[in-house]
Amino acid sequence: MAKGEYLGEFEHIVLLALLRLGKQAYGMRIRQEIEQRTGRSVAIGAVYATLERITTKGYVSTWLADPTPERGGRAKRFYKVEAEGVAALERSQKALNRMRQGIRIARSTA
Amino acid sequence: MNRTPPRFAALLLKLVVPDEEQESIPGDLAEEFATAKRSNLWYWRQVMSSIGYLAWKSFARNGFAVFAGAAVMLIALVLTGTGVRTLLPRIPHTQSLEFAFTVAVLGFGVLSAAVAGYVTARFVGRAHLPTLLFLGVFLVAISSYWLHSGVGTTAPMWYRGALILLVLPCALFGGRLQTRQVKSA
Repeated sequence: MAKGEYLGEFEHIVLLALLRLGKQAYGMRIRQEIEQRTGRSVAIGAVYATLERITTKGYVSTWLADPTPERGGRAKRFYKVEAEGVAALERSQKALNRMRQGIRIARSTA
Repeated sequence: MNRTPPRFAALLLKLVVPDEEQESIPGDLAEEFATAKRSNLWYWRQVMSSIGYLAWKSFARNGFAVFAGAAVMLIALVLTGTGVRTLLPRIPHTQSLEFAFTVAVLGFGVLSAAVAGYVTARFVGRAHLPTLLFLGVFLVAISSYWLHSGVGTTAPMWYRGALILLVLPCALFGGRLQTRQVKSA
């Protein structure tokens, strides 16, 4: 399997955030979802950089919705995970599970 | 929308965001700033931590404009450099004449920046800050080194300082001039 077919850590996280948000997946909500669930501070630029990369790979599709007043009349860009994206997630999960088999991960206190 | 983001940070973001994300990224930040009652510092942090990627993306999308702008600046520099190398040894080396000559070279430099800004805006469709910033650094670096290297003198500090300060505003002015012409046509 080519190297590019595996997901990077942040790509993995973004795809899972898109699946969690479903029809509400747009930039602001994706950023907040990742921040709330991972506890790490995320820049909007980092989210969009990853979204662009996984869109180019064909894992997600995107479209612009109508402008809304709470955004100063600007439109939201929504994202949806495609079948290729789900397959990529499954591949990565399986690879991680296989790597994890037979080892016990525990934080050493020694 | 009740709260508006810090004006200068919002302007900076608008200048570096690629055309296709002009709605989504500023809109996302404006919405979160207003609805989640984020601080000005939060907004600034978001802009500053995203600016590198956004500027690079914008810059990469406008390769032809960068090429055209750089070509204009290079032609201007070759013309100026040839003039300096030919004329400077012939004129008497009085302080006032050298000063006038350096001012003239500086004027030509900022004029070429304005023309480069005009040319890039012609291709990009707006005064595009990342592209102009690149061209500005290109002009200042080459001009400061090459322009004076062949005549045995180095550019005075005030010339370099003035060039650094004036290049970007002049390039932006050239870009605005072009877009204003397009709008009024």
